[in-house]
Amino acid sequence: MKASLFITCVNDVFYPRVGKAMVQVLRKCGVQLDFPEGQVCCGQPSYNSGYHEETRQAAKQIISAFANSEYVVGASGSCVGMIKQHYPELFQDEPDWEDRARELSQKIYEFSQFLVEVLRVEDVGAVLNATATYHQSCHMTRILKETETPKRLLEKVQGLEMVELPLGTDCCGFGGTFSVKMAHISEAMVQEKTEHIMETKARVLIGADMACLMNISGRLRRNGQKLRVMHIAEVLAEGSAG
Amino acid sequence: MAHEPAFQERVKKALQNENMKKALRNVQATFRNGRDRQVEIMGNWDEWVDRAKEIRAHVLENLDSYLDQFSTNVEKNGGKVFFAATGQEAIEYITNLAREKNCKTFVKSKSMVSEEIHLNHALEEMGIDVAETDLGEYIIQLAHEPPAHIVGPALHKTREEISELFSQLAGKKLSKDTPTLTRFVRKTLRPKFLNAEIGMTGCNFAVASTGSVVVVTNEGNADMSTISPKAHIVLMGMERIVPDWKSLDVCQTLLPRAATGQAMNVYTNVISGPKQAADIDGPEEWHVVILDNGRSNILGTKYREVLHCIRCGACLNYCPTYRQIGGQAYGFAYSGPIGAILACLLDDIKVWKDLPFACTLCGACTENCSVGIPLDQFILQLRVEAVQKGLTPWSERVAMKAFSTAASNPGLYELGLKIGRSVLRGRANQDGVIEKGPGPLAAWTQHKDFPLPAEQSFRDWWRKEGGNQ
Amino acid sequence: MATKEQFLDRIANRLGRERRTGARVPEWKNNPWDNLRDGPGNEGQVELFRKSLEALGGRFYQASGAEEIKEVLKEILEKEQVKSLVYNKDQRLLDLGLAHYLDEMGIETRVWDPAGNHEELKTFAEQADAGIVFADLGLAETATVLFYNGGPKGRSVSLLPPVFITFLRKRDMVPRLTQAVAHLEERAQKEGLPAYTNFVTGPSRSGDIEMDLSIGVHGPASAYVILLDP
Repeated sequence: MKASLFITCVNDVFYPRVGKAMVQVLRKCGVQLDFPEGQVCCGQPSYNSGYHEETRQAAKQIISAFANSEYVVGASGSCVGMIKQHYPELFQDEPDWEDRARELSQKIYEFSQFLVEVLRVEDVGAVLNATATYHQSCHMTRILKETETPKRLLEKVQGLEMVELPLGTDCCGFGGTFSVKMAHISEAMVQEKTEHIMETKARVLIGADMACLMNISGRLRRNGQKLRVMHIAEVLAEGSAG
Repeated sequence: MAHEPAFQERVKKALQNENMKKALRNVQATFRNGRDRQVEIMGNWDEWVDRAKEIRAHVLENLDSYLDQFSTNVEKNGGKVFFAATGQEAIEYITNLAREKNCKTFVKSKSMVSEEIHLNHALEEMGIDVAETDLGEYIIQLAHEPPAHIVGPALHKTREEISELFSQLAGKKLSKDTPTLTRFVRKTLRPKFLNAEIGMTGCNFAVASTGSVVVVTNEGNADMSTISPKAHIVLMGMERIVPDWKSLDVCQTLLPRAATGQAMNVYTNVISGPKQAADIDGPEEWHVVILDNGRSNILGTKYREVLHCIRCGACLNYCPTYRQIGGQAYGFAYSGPIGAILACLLDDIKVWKDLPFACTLCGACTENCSVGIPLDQFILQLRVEAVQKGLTPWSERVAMKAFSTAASNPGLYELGLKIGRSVLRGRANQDGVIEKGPGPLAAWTQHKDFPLPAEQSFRDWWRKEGGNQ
Repeated sequence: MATKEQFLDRIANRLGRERRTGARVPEWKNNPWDNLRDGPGNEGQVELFRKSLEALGGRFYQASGAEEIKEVLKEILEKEQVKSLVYNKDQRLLDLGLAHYLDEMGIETRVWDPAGNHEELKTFAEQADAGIVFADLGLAETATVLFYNGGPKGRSVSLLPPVFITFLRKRDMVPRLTQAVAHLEERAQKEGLPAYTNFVTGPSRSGDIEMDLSIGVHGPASAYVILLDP
């Protein structure tokens, strides 16, 4: 089984540990991995801000980078959602690129989706003794429409007790450039999110989208609230020999 | 009506309002729970939504035909129809009628359209006592405030504030318990209902096949506004048509459940004409004012589905932005996701361009819309339009160009990363975290810590060791 | 000022075509209410109606025969301390012998009769303690009653007084709005709709004061439904 890694710009720059954890887990499952260096960014920052011409440039780079991949495994639900849902639409006036976009959208999976649906693995032998809560990113929930696979994987982690996050389907307030353009509203949203997280009394916050977690952890930190913030790949890499 | 800095001002004010914050959480919880419960009870909610979408799409596709049928039937029933292309025309018609009737008191049941065209102001300028009779509208009228929610305009007011407003009117101190406040309203408004020369309602649905207007309330104020006054005016947006009663079933099944979690409004009135010869109560004259005011502009565009809206308010109830800032911050008659879109489409996007950006594109609105409007997609489309019209800041356009250049050029991207990393390293505290960021980062770091880029990027690690394992 | 033709022309223009008339709703094969059509049988409907009405703060009684009707009415009117009452000149109400009971109870009554003095009737209704009407349909799902008003059946009678009492025949109970709109459509075709047709569901209410329930805002605060069986 061969797959290409789509690490995402956020992880490449800020959280390479997420990428490393993904590599560890996928290799343990017997997947042969490569990392096409042509990849940079899926284009969400410009896409969501209304700059679709600029987005097409970023998208073409991504499409080209993964042209020869059999499978693509992505480290972020929102980035994979962007590619699956929006790339074909972006190129509706360029039929050649539209075809290539469609081809990519059919072979790309978010990390937990890939494990459960393609590799048919739910238990990777992970061990993490902790009480944790899971933040589901809006784009992974409503664009990629994936809510089940992370839950199933986390259920199989030995020692991990999951507590449901109150108002879990509510946005964390990141929204890309929204967090800067509408910083005050973003603050109010993320503050409320941290309140709900603290209500769970969890010591660990888990998610499948580091952009959301970067937003939430930034506020937790500012509030002096000490929680371990982990990408699901990091959780699954825990306790299993690398 | 609003200009650029004003939105951020209103937002800041709203965010500082503790009462508003409490009220918004309470409102969203109540309405979400109510709606969710009804969705569960119905068991096949999506089928109803899909059918409503089909009906609304069909109506818009044939809007001229159905408006023709509706107005013909209204006239057959003894009513008068006025087609108002603009808000100004509607105001002229209504104020002329008020003048003709020597109107001193004008009772109003809730009408969002009347707020859209600023009707009250025009009537008040004539010295007419405009009495809002929906309890929430009455409260904000007394407070001189715009609505905070489409369905419950005064949900941000505490009972202390309401008691204060009523006490001022009563000329004595009223206690703040609900029954006392309710009794006061009933007592104060009843004479207005009975003595008003004209009563006006909005229209939830206009049934073309019988020339009927359906108006729903829980208080009975639409009924009160229409049985005593000699003239009844219906003010309706032209898209409020349903073809027949079967269609009304679908829409009226969804509306109360989606709006407040009620299975049915207390009063669902079907008005099909002025009083008939043998009737004792009811208006002698029935005027239906059908308003365009920019709706036809939307018809020929990709935003057409926005006219499906049945004004249930569900999008407000699930919106995380609305949750934090409330309806008044939007500055427009309609708020929440639907309001942000309507402001740009019915009015000028140049004026309202902040609204589509006050959104994280979380998609909760679209997910819960009673008639399947792709609200988040429309909001995104409006952003694209804003960019194309040159309404976004120059610095942002430059940044986006730089972004796309870097995103299509890995070498440049890595170079930028190296430079960025060294710049930011200097701004980090001893924990390796940025508390005061430069440039655009400052807005972030005002409220949150920002991580330093890792010493070694993933791709660098992969090149050096990861790839070889 | 726009004329009707200009207004409609603009719409057709924006839709990119010529003016259209005679549009009809498509015949859809499956309907969302299909699975609800076979609702609870008549007894089940009554029970559903009762539960729904009581959940809204309305009160439900059942009565069969003159004696029970009289007892129920007496109980309600005494409880609500009704001294004056208006009721529709509805044959179904007259057949119940209403006038007689009310007379016995010493309650001042008026019948909503178009042949009477309209102003006097309206004033009386406005000040009456209670109004009695007869429903044309009951919707079990939502505890809604339907009135085709007009002539001797006044909207004022069910709306203005603070106590609202309606009789409903068990055989006029239908599962939900779906059946009611069919009834409406049929009536519209046969004899046209009256100026005022009302669906009423429980007592008047509002949540506008801190989402706290206000009852009896403008319409009645007390709503009674007396189910007649048969």
